[in-house]
Amino acid sequence: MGNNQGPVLLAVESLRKFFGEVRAANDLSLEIAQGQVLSLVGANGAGKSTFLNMLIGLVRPDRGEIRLEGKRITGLPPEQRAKMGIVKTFQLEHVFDDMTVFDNVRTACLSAAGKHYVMFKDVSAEREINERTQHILELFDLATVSQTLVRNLGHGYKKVIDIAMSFAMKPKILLVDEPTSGVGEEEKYRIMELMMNQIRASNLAAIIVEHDLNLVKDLSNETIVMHEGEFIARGAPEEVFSQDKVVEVLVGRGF
Amino acid sequence: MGANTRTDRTLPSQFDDRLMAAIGLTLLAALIPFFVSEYVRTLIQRCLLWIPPIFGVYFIYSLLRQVHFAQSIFIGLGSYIVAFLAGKYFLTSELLILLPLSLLASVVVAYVLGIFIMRRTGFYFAIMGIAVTMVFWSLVYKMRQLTGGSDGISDIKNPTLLGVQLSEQGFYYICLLISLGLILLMHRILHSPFSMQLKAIRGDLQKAESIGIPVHQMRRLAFVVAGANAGLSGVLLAFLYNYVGPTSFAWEFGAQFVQAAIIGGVNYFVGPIVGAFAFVGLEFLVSTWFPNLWEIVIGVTVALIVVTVGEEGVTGIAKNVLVRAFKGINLKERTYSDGK
Ligand SMILES: Nc1ncnc2c1ncn2[C@@H]1O[C@H](COP(=O)(O)OP(=O)(O)OP(=O)(O)O)[C@@H](O)[C@H]1O
Ligand SMILES: [Mg+2]
Repeated sequence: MGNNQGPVLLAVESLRKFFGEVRAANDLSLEIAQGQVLSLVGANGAGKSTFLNMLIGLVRPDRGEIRLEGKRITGLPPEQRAKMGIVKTFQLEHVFDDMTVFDNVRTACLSAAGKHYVMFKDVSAEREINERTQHILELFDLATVSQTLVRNLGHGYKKVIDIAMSFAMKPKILLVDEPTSGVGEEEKYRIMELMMNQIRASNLAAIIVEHDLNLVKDLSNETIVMHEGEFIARGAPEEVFSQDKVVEVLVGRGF
Repeated sequence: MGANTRTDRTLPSQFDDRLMAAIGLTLLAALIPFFVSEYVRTLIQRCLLWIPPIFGVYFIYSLLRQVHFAQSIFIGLGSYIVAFLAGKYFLTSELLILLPLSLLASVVVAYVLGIFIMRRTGFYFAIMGIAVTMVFWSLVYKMRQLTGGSDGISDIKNPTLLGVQLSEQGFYYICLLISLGLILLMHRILHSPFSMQLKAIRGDLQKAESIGIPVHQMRRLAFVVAGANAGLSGVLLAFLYNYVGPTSFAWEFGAQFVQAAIIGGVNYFVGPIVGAFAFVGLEFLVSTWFPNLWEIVIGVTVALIVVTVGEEGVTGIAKNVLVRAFKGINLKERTYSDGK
């Protein structure tokens, strides 16, 4: 798949996942270069989340291969893949509800620093970790709610916290599953802008699942359309969205 | 309960009411052998030695919200190590050998069991804990030749420290020291990065693993921390009674630590300490006055606490009373485990 942005970062080959009769992923193949941003669109149930979950190891594929920087990661557990640089944010709320915003991000920073088994040090005294946490909170406009328990915050905040935690992992490729689902119109643009600024600033590769086609057009110059477990089109958004087969599967299905 | 006003960043090391209370109680505990009968001293020693295994239960519950019924495995391990090495096949009664040995055995056994038990959460974790404990118990019970079966092993020699035989009072201070040491250690651990990540794991397992936290390994290690506490207590309990029986492996025994943790209150760092004294004290009172009613009393007590104050326990009740009596006292220890 011709792209001249740099060496291949992530290579996916014939990834398949069937849930009984449902073909959630039917031999999906894809290559992404460093710094390349792709959007992924498709109707409900097309298999977008399943695809991303296979990439990070939360769903085990029936067959197929996933390579990150040439290394086979297909059988590795999620935590190892995250360490290697492939991280995902979630479609639904996945944050640590009974911790403060600061501690949510701090947890990710601790993890990124590999400090899992440190038992005899006070967390609140880890200066480097705290400084990095604070820095990330500021990048994502979260500093003002730093000491609030996450459960007391709205859905939009939780989406941003999820994204901030993923960034804290210093990923090479970020997978973003509907960052703006269930978020109000205005906030939607704010979240997207925050996130895209960071993705571009750190020259990350990314796959972003998004339902709002207007947003998709601004996100990146390349989009993939998914339908019933298959990639049916790939290219510049304007061009792809005018293809008949794409119109057919997107129109009237939540688009 | 105003949970959202708390912050985890408060340093635990302020000179406050809690610290004063801790120093006062420690002094009191240190002076006790001079004022009470041998019987009461033994009872207090029992309380002290119950604290570490209850802390294990508290640790697993407060961070992972899992109920740990299997602490008796590690009490049993520590106790039988003493029963064999300082009793039946006498080799040594040196604490500096037996304590590390039991620690090592507990760590190894907990790690291996953790591979299986910690794969499960919630209900299944609790049930597996009970099931595994029953296996240990019946092995010990059935291997009569080796373990003495239901008769257990008595004639355990008195403990020595650096070769010097400890007096009863000396042994009391060892128990006090180890219990205090483990309490301080648990305090550190509960404020550590390790504990914060455990809390994250129970909050959202998928998110935790997708930000690189080795969830299974860490959960296993939490089980090891809990078991190590009990393993050390097991050694000292065996010396305290100079007797070890298969009941130290019984899951009902493990369940008592859970009951004690509930009575103490799992919302508070001091809960396990309060729970140990409350449980053993209650056990003593009931067995002297109404020897046949023990099961009923403890059952009703636990049920009443669960229904009325839930996770607050006796500590929560006491705190409320104290707060009303002395305005502004702050007994709530903040750890990564509160914030329900
Ligand atoms: N664990 C599962 N068990 C059974 N079927 C599943 C499972 N996960 C997903 N599916 C099915 O696989 C298909 C693809 O689901 P997936 O969530 O990947 O779609 P999606 O494109 O992310 O949809 P949406 O836009 O609604 O998020 C759906 O038909 C779904 O019902
Ligand atoms: Mg989805």
